[in-house]
Amino acid sequence: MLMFVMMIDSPEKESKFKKIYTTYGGLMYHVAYKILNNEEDAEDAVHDAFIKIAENISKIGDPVCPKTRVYIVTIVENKAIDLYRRKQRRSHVLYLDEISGFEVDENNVQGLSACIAKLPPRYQEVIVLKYRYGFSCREIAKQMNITEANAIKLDQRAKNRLLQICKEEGIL
Amino acid sequence: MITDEMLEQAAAEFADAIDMSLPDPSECTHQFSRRFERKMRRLIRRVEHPALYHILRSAACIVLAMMVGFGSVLAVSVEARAAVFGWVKQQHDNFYVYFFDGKVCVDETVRYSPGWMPEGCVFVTSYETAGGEVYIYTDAEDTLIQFSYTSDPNSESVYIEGVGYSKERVEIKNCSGEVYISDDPGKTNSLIWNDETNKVLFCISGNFEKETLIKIAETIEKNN
Repeated sequence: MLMFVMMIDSPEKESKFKKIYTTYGGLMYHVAYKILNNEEDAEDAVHDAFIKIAENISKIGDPVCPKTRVYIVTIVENKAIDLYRRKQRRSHVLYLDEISGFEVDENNVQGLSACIAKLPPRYQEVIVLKYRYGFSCREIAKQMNITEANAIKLDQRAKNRLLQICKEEGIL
Repeated sequence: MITDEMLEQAAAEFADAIDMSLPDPSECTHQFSRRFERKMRRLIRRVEHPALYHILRSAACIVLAMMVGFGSVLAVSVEARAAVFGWVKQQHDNFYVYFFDGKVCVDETVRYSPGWMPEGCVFVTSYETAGGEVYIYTDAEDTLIQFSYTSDPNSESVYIEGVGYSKERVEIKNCSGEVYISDDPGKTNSLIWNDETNKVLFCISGNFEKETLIKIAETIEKNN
């Protein structure tokens, strides 16, 4: 209501965020609901995800493309799992195996990517954010609401676990 | 040994597989709750106005915008202004401008602050302006709340939107004021009142009902 100062707005930024909201809001809810099985919780997770997306909006190129879509569902999955853990009052413990991550078609992954598909969701998220989207551990920490040290640790654990799976599968 | 290059390639393949596993976004329709839609409108505003949000958050110096409520819109004429020694509201097509008409000697600056804020409100920062102060709070939903006042006749002119708000006259501790309620639930409401004796203009703006704004206003106290 108050007109304090003339604000410099970016119409591109405005339309980009709104476009993401209108295009992917339902999909994000779908992903969150699958994990939380509760409408209100799923909406909270979607909102949490949008806060993180807003903080990184400048790093998003085309708002409607596969790369953006996967980034968005990765973030909302992370927020939904966080909320699930909080609801279970076990947020301090890493129960990584109890929630399944994205169920990808086995025919679409092979070799190392097939091994990533077998990782717990938290590990998948860090691998995707770091190696697909090029986020630093500091940036990942902000998006996951964890410390940078924990993000580094998570990255290391994810790679160790991946190596272990690769060996079991005879990939390496 | 898994190299970063191998991970980048595999992560890209995995991301593509995720994308292929997702349902078509157009098939994922969901009617979000009003609560969610309200929160999203605020978030969109925040993304649309990052400069303002950053400024308020970092307590940088901004131009104070103060508003004053008069019972009626004064005609913008020399005669009308001459009859008023104090703050004058000038109406434009879709906004109002307030400015101080006349001169007054301010010997000492009196400080004011709210004695009560609704539960969940968190003080963010405050800073001095010409003849006044601005207090910034956030509520549980991270919406900004502002209390501001000025007693300086030389302070900046004040602007207020005039479209999309309903006005109502109110009285705060024997001072006349107006409460502005937005037609859009996503926009904040404001209460503006004028202490004619001390030539002080007060304003509270936030996502509150009229009653809450008045309750806050009635707890405004002098600090010195």
